[in-house]
Amino acid sequence: MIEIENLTSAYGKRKILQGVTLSGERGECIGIIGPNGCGKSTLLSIMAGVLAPKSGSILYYGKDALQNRAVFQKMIGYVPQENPLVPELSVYDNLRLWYPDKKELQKELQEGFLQILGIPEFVKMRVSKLSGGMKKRVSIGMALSGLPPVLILDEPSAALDLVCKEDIKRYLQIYLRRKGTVVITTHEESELSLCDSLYVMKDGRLSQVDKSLRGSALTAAF
Amino acid sequence: MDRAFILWKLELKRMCRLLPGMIAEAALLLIVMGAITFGVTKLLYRDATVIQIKIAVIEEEENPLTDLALQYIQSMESIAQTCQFLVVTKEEGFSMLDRGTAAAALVLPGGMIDGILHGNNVPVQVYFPQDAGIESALLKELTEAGVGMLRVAQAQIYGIYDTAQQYGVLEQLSVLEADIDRFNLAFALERLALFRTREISVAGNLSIIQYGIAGGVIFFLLLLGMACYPMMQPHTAVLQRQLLREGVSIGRQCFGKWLCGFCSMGIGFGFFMWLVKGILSKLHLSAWMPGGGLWRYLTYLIILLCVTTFVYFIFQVAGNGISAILLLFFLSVVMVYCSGGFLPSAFLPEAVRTVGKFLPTTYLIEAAGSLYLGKTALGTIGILLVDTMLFGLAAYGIRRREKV
Repeated sequence: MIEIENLTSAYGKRKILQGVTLSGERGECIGIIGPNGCGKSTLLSIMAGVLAPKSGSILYYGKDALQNRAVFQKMIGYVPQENPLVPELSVYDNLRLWYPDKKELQKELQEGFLQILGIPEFVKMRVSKLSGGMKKRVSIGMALSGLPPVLILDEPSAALDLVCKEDIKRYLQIYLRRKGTVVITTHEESELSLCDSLYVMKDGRLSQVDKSLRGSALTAAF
Repeated sequence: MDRAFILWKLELKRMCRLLPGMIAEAALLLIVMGAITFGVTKLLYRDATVIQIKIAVIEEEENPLTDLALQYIQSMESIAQTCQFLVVTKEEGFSMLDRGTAAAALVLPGGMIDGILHGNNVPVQVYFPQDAGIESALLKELTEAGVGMLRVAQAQIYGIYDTAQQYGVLEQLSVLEADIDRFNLAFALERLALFRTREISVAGNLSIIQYGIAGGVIFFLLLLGMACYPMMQPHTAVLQRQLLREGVSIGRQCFGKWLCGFCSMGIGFGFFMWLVKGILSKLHLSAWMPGGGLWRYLTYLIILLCVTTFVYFIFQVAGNGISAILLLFFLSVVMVYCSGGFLPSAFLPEAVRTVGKFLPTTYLIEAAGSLYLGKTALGTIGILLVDTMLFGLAAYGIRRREKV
């Protein structure tokens, strides 16, 4: 369902991604790990359609996303590292930006994923008053507008407490059970347990590793 | 509903939330500006004369009597406060005129005092520089008025002498002269009456107060942009990218920010005008406020458009709120100064005046001043609209370049 072939990217003369190839199926969770600055976020940004690659191809459900940008909008939910929220507005107003259909938003809040994320509890609160975990839940909720089949998350648990991390893991499990595909970058070992396939990125190159690797064995793979 | 439209709606909603804080900041600005205005007024209109006009005096022939007369004139308090006579040679005198270091050159002919004593009245020649500055222009007016006064007095003296002689009452001449003096001092030589009715003002057709208000309004509007920073500063990079991904173009994002800036500046400006109008009406000074009318409202709108777009441009150049506020404050002070908003341009050095001609603030102040006159020059409106467009395009260009 996800087919990425020979993706390359560069900032000026500096090569960020070099021939990255990746594939994933429905209901699969793909984990990407690697040291800071190795190109994980760039890869995810390209996969989400935020950045353009230098070369390569991206197919979602057989559709070429680089040729038709609407594919990114329809098929990808993207949760960047920083929350794309407007602090002075309420959670509801922030969600409105990503749920153009008011009825759809109401439905999601009552019985959809937003309800699973527990957003109705603080939907009227101003974003500036929310905790880090709440903000991340809102960001995930925003990414899930239109129920995209692929969810891309860039270190969703960074700077969150243990309870929040567990909550986010639980939400992702629900999403995976509903046959969504998750691509996640993380430094958290607990989140790696979610992953069906694991990739290590180093110096812009991606290589698959045995998902059973843990601790020092995983570090050695870097 | 179109996502860009929702974004604009939410931006406006956000603006409404931030408005009370912004109004409070605007009120604070008003107090600061009031204090500055008070200080500047005190400085400008204090009793002592701060400028002395230099006058080159050229004596064609050395004469102790001429020197005495010159000393006598210079010792008069009103003269000593405003003029400084410098006795120089003819070459030096004209060179001073050329260099602009003297406001006028007086050429005192030989035998001038003897001429006065014997009724010959050899004329004194007064030379002014070709491109007369404000001091020279004033001096010219005063000289012409003085010449007029002397002509009248001379004609009266000869007139009463002839009359007394004709009627054979020459012994009454001293009484008649005393009468003339009395009438002249009471009525005929009322000095202001001898001046031309044409007014020379550094503020053009405006009064100094109106000119000051025009400059103050533009300065306030620029500073108001600082209070509007939450509305004007760009979205966070992550939000901008996400919006772009969802199909909200950079142009639409920019428009949303600009729209909020325009609305908030409009509300802030409206509040300011309302407050000033209220204060002036309490002080019975309503005449200091410009009137209403369609043309004036249109001018207000164009001024607001131009200032908002300029402030928005500064926010895009600076990239973040704090840098933008500092840059805006610095630029506002410099630009308004160069455009003659604090001191009329006539008092500024030539180089500053030249710079001022290229600044939008010059035309903004001109447009604000024209609100008192009822109609703004089409040229000024055209320049402001072009400036608005250029600032808008430049701001868009910066945002587009920095989108990733």
